[in-house]
Amino acid sequence: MTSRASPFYVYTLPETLLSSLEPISFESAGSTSTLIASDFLEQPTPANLTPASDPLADASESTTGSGPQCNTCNYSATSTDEQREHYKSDYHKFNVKRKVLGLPAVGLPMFETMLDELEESISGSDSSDSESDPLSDSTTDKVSNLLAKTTLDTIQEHGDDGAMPVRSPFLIFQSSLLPPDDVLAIYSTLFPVPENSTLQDVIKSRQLSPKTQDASTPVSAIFMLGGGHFAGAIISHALKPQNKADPVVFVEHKTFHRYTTRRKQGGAQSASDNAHGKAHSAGSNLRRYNEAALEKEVRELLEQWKSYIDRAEHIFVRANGRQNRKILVGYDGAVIGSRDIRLKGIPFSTRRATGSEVKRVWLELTRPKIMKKDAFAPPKSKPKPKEAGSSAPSKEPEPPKELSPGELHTSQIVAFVKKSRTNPLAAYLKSNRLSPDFRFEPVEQYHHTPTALHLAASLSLARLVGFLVVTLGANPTLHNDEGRTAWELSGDRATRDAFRLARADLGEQKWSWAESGVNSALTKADIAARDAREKESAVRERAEAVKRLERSRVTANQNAATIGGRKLASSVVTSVGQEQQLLNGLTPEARMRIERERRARAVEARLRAQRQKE
Amino acid sequence: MAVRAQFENSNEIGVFATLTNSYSLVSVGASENFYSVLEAELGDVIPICHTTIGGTRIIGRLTAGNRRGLLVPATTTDQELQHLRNSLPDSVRIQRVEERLSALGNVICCNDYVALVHPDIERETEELISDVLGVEVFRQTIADNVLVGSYCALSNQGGLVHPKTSIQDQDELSSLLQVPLVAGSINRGSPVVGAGMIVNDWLAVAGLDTTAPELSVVESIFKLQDAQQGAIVGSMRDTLIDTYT
Repeated sequence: MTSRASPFYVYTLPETLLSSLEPISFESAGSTSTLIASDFLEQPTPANLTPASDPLADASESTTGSGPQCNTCNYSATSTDEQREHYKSDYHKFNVKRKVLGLPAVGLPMFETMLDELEESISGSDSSDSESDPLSDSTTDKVSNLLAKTTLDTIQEHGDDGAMPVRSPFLIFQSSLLPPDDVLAIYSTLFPVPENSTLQDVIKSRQLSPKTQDASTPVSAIFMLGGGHFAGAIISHALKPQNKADPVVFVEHKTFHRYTTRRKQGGAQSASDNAHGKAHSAGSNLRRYNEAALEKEVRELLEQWKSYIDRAEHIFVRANGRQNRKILVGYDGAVIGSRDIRLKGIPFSTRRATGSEVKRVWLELTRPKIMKKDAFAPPKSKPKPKEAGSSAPSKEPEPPKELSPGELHTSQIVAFVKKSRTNPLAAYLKSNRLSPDFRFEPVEQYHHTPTALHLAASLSLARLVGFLVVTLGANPTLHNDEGRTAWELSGDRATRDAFRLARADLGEQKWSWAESGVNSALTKADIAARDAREKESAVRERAEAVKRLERSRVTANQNAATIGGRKLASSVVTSVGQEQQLLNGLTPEARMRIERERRARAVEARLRAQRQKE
Repeated sequence: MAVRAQFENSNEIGVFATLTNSYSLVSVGASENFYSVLEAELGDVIPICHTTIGGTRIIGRLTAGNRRGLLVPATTTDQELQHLRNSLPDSVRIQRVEERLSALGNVICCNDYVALVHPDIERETEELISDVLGVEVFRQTIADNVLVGSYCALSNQGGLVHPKTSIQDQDELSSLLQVPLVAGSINRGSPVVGAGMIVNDWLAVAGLDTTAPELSVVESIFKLQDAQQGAIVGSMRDTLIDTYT
């Protein structure tokens, strides 16, 4: 609502406008900024937001008449039939969707021009829907496309509604040629200001001579990569003056697409492989291959364009995620180094990587915008801009509730403990001169775990317990409000082992270990020996179980053999040798299942035997 | 006739049941109390079908239907669909709808002639609605809510919409639907009138919390008074008031 594209182009600004530009800034605390900021405070902002000032809201004109009305479109029909006809129109549907998004309705003429513009901009690969279903009436697609387009535009405009854009992507200029409450905004990425020059000089130096373009005209590169789509272009800074509709000059351009994304699952195949291990489906193999192919193709292309890229003034890259970025930037022998100062992101949201999107990005970047000043006004809730020199430059916002220093320390320490971050914890204690036995505050909240050691023990953070006791020298004999030491809170053996290891490390004299409740000292070797012992006994137990099973089977066989009238072959339990043969031909899973059954039978047999004994 | 009922301690009747002029669906519950209420009112007139949709009990929010047809979401299993086909009259068309907005009861609000739908519903779904239910379909919002099915209860006689619907919107909607509309609440002030009650041309069932004024609004807008009661209000009024004074 508050911005519109100007007819200018940043590299060919008219001389008169250029000389009248005055940068304004809200970030520096200069006198101009305070002056302007106070201007805004006096200015009633809603005045600028009336629909009349909105180019989209010319719908309000057609609201007279007494017949049935459509409140969404401000449309009045002469008859009910006409009204119903209107409700079925795309125009109405578009306005209903805009209403849901909280946008003002557009007028019918505006809607038609928007639709025409859209038709021009849709190219083949932009809309996959129209490809897949060319027979269907595509007007709804158009409406949704149009809506997607306009909402993207408005999100850009309203992105930081109400809040002060502390890091605005724009450089803002006042000019005597503009209306007093309008400003000219240019994306700041286009004009990085070196140390010893001013912004105006930089902009002036970048202006193109009105002569015809030649090989020395500066170029910029745009690369967009995402979801298997790649679009790249080398763009000349000169525009085609004769073609107003399509003025962008591509020196080189290329787009391609590979099937790499997991449909309905989301994410790249490689990301899924890294997270869950390799999938073995046909689709995953295809995607893996395509990812590699895309990477290869993109890098070959960059290599081909090396001469252009080397002399490009800007390199705009849109590649979300490390995976995508690594394809373009900073790999071994990369054409674009990851520390290249020309390398920039695109400071607004973009759609799928296509040739026309690259064009749109370039035009969006290079068309200065005319904005209302109040788009940059500070929010009203903020106190008046500081009086000259009365206060220090803006500080971190204070926490909403005043905390005592003890509570602040507590929250910090608890956070470190919960994340099990030893080094930051030690550094924090040291820098604040806190003892490792610091008592948490407020006391009633931490009655169960009053110290870091208690907390670590109750959370079973064995490594941290060891660190606290051995390195930081935390006292293990302290009691919580329930009279329990940290040892008594530890939840698992690993934590208890940490205490016992600490006891061994520190020696018996350091603390009165008996009071802390910590069991006898334990060394690493002891633990290793214990583990080995346990392993051994587990193995032995299993062996015994198998032996018992065999024994019971033998007795069962004997029983079966002694019982008259029953054939051996029909006995429930087959002989061991037979079963072994049977098992050899089976898959591991099936074998495991049979083993399990066998064990269960053994247990039953044992119980039965016991009962018989009784 | 308007009655109050409760589905297993919940007042949101419209969540667990669907009511049309030719059939009614109720979800299978642990208690049959709610079913009994419907049975007592509808037993001989229209079939009442016990069912689940996609294994859930919130069938009122997942399905949309009228005298001519029933739309069920894509989550409906084949068994459930077959069960519905067996239980409902042959004249009722049953159609499974592949729609992203799968709670059809929340996004569609219809009577036997016209339907309001969520603005984002797919074009194919829109066509299915007009084919299966035999209605004109309009994409609309009710009091700036896109869930038209939740915030509107509609029959061929009238409609109850979200209590905060503006007069202009009510006028617009009622000229579109060609039935009188009133803004009101249900279940002691709840604005989700579509989910709080079920209604057809001769019966409305609302939650047990519904207050007497709310119920009287329901009775009058859906024209549910019996002939006798109507007479009491109309012709016998003078006599009654005479005796009181």
